[in-house]
Amino acid sequence: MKFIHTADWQIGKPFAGISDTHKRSLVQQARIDVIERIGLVAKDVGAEFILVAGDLFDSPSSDKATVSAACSAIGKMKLPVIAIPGNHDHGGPGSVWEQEFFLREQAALAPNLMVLREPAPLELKSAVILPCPLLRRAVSSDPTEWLRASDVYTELSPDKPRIVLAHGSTQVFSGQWDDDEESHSSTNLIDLARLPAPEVDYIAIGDWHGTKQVSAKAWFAGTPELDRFPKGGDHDPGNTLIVDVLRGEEPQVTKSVTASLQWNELVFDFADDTALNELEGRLAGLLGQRANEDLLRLTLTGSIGIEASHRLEQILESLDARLLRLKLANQTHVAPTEEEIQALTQRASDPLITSVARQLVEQSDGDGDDAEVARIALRELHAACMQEASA
Amino acid sequence: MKLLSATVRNYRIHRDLKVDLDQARTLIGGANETGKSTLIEAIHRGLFLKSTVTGESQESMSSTLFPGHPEVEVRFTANGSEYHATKRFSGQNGTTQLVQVGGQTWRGEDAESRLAVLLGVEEASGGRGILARVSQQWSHLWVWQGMSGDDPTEHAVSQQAHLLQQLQQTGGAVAMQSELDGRLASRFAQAKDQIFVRTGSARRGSELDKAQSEAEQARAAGAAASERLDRLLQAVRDFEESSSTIQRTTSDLEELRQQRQSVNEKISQTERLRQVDKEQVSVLDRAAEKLAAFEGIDKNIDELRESISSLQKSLEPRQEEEGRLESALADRRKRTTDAERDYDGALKKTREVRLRRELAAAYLNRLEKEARHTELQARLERVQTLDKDIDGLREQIAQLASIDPEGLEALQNLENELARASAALNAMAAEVEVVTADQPVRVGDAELPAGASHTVSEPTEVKVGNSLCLRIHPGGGEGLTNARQEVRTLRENLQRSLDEYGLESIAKASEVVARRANLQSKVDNAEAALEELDADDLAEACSSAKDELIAAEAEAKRRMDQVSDAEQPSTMADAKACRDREEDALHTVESSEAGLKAARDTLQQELGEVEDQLSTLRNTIVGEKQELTGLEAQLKLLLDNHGDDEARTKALEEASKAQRDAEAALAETRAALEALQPDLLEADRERLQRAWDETERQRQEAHTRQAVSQAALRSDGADDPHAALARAEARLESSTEHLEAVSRKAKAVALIDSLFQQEQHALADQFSQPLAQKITGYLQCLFGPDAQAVVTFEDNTFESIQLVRSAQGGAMSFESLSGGTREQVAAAVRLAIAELLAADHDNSLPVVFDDAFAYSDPQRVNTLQRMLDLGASRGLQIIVITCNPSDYAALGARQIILSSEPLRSARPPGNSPPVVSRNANSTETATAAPPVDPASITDQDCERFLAALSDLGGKSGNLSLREHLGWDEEQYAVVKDQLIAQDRIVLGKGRGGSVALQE
Repeated sequence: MKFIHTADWQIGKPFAGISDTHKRSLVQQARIDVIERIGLVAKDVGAEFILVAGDLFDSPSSDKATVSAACSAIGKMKLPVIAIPGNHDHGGPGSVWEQEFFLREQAALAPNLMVLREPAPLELKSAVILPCPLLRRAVSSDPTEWLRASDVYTELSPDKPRIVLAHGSTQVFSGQWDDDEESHSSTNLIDLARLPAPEVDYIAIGDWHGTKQVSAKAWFAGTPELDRFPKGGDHDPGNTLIVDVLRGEEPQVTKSVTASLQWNELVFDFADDTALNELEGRLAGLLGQRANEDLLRLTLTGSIGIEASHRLEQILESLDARLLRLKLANQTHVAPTEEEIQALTQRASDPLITSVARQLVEQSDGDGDDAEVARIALRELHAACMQEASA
Repeated sequence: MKLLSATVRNYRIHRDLKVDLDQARTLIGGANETGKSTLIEAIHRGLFLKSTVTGESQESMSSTLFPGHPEVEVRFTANGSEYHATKRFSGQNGTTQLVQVGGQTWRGEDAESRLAVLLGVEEASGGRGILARVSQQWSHLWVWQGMSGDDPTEHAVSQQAHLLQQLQQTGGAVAMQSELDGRLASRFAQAKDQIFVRTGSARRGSELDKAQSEAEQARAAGAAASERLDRLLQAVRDFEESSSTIQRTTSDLEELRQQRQSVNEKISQTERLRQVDKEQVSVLDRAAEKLAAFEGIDKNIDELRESISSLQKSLEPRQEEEGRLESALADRRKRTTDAERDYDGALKKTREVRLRRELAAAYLNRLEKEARHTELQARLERVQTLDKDIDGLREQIAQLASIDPEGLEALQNLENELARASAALNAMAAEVEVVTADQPVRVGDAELPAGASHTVSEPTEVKVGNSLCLRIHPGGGEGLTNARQEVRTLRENLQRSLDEYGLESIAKASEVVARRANLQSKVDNAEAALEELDADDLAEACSSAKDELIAAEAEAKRRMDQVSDAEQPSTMADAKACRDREEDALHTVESSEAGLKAARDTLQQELGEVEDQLSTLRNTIVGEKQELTGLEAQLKLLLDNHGDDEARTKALEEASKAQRDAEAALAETRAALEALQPDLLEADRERLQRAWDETERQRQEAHTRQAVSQAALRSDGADDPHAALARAEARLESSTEHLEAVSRKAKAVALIDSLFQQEQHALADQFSQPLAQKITGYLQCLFGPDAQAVVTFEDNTFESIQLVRSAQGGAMSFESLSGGTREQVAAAVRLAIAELLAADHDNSLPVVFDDAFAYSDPQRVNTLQRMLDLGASRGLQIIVITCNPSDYAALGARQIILSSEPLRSARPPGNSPPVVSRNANSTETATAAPPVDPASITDQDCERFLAALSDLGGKSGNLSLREHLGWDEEQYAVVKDQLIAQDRIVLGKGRGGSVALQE
């Protein structure tokens, strides 16, 4: 029996860091678009249903447009889609799941969507689903706790594979994800070891955005479409899992890549001004001639001259325009080159400029705010000087 | 450049005047109106005013005295050559000629242009106001009258470039800011100005301002989004809490309901038991009542029986006592009757004895009264005799005149007086004695018969018949009259007194007095005797004694009737003895009677006591017998009503049992009640009701809260608050970053600007230093070694000059200096500027001071000469115009004294005494213009003068004003004098000619 295990769609994620509204909506749309690809995967492998292990929505208070778009995309998948509320879209009071609008849109657009908001077995034609929904953003108890009692299983069909559907952490991770995600803490912890292993056949977990097998039967599906810059290399986001499972047998799990957006990372250090060319080369290699398809986190360090800094600004300006998002950590120092310093300070005919420039050069030495201001002043003076001189 | 000489022709009052100027120091002197300022003006125009000037400008130079157009010829050196500049101001046809000695000659416009180049000025443009513009040429060197206090740096503006060039060279090749420097400095100054206002905060609309506003808005939006989400989360919490509260309270209420039910049941049970209790108590009460009734009856019967028995017992001794008392009573009665009989006998005896004693006393009394009456009767008769005597004596006295010895003495005195006065009168009076008379003689009115005499005491006519009449005047004159009057008065007095007494004479009076005294003494004796007899009450006493005697006789008579065998004493002694005997007899019988009375009283008392005892006893016996009868009746009634003893005992037992049964039932009920703890039950019910109310309230409240929070949670889905917060936070972050970047850039611009300014200042200081040093050199001539000039140079312009005098402390700006000091400092600055500019003019330039120290005191003028001399020694050509040349005597200058006198010959230059040079060939016109007739001055002239003065700001130098009016000196002077005389204008304070409107 095959089914699709996915999670963390986080539809409606605001991507507030992207200031350009068009680009922002492109990135947001990618999260809708991936649903169709998941549907294709499911159809390809003959999955009987699709399990979404929490965080289908990014927020427990998703707006109407998001709800409609999600229901529409889910409706198109035709297969039953079974979801539980995760920490992002928890099923607490006032959550999206109980809003009238959602219920209406679900009924109209996604009758195949089933949201399990109570920890009670759901017996399907070919499997038993044991949902562990989150009814709050953070619970201190183990969401799977109810599955520890043996009497849960007595009434279940003995032949159908039993699939736990849960959302939470299986251990305390931290610092593995970049930026805007809340840090994982000791809440929503799932203790897999305390589940009666023979009683369940597969544990479909959501929350962790990389695909990860955490025990023989337990997997994090990861998000099918990236929503942030990954930090390390050992995570594996952007997949959808195809699970083949039978009662009492080891599940067979296959990954299928479903991500479309490129979330790139580049760290670059300027050894000297010629490194600017190298940076351009690296960027070309990374991004090609594309526009509005990539996101890049760029970290720049080192120091460059005034002229070079102007060029760098132009490069960054282009990047900012072409990329869906440029997340820039520009730690470069503008350190004027000898020639640039001389051009400003060795002007016998312009005693004021010479003197002012010398003082600025003096003040720009160091790491403080004043030095930074002096460096900017130097650049401004340089630019003005070049401009006025050529006028 | 140096001025060598000037020749002025047909120029206002100057017909033809030539002056040679010293190369270093020239002093042009002369009284007012001698044309000093006109001369200096002519030289200035000869150099700077185009000869083709027309209209009023041209006319103002023309002379009203001399025909011909004004001409000015100036000789000077410049650029190493000597030049002659000649101008003829004849309107459009005016001519200019410039001759370089030993060189070129220029004419017309060429000459003007060349002249301007030589003088280092821009040619002044023509047209209106040309004179004013021309006067600005070299105004830093040329101190016009009345302008000495102006800030000379303003006049040096046109020479700024030259000045700066010189300063640059002087200051040790100080680099001046380049054009690019200036552009960049102003670019950043502008940039900074666009970002910041003066206070340092961001200018509205600047990028910084926008970034700040955006950051502020983002912060506010972030706070709003955060608050909104917080509200949502709060609603979730409220919902959960209220849901949980509803669940809890619902279960609590169920529990409470059960408890209440149980308590209510118990309370009902209690109430039922209480009812039973009440009924049983009533049964018990009735049983007890019945029993008590039976017991009461029994008790009554017993008590009655006992009382009867007790009464019967006590009656027996009382009846015995009664018998005994009755016999005692009879005995007592008999004895009492005897005693009374004895007592009555004694009483009778006593009465008899008493009557006898009373009779004896009455006899005695009658005798006493009789004696008394007799005695009183005798005294009364004596008194009556005496009274009769006295009355007789008094009658005798009354018949006598009532004179007393004092009255007698007064009469005797009067008689004596009369005797003395008569004697005196007789001594003075004349006596007419008719010895014989054939005819009737009349003395006075009275006819005096012969032989008679008549004493005449007053003038008296003595008529003898009808023919002779004599008047006799007694001697003594006035005294006679008086004496006669006195005698008459005394005699009248005496007679009047005697008449009053009714006496004929003194002797009779004396006799009466003696008789009166005799009679009076007899009366007095009789009265003394009366006094002794106590005559007043005697009659009454006698009368009452008689009455008493009669009464005593009656008494004795009456008592005699009562006593049969009484003796009748005849004397007092017998009567007394009789009475005393009877008295003793009475005492004896009376004491016997008292003894009998006491015995009878004792017996009577004993009898009363026995009677009382018996009566009491009999009462008691009667009472007890009645009581006994009553008790026996009661007993009989009870026995009749309640049966005999046996029947009653049975009934009592039955009643007792009924009571015991009722008690047992009640005890059972009460035990059941106690088991239910009714007091606690009520408290329980209240407590449970309270708990119920409170829990119910909580449940209701939770329902409300749940509904409210549910409503808050019901999203319209228009927006996702989580996403909104994320966006707001991102916006805040980016706007903060942007603000930081913009702030940094703004700070950078401000930094560059401040550095540029700093550098400009440093540069300016370097520039201004040489000028300040030069000025200081001159100032120290005036104010001593501590004086210093501070020159501020900004934006390549001299902004201000300040004077520092250590004595006065801080720096004083030029404007704040006093008028005198200001013109001195201005002169120092001019000299310094001229000295610097002289570098371009063969190291020399003329500096003209026209009445430039009008406000300076003489002492300061003296030190001024040091300063001027210093300028001259540094190559400047100093030209001083003054009306008081002696003030500048110490300058050591060539003096040129102008005079209005005609035909002053020119003398060779360099001579001393001072030189006035006028061309000799102008003999006929060399005199000053003929005086203007003051009568020819019109009001219109005066008004024009005042209007022009007003146009020039209310005060003006004479020259400027006169030019403005276009008048000649004479006309100007006459009008001016008139207006001064009319107090409509005043002369300026300075020596030089200036006027001001009267304020």
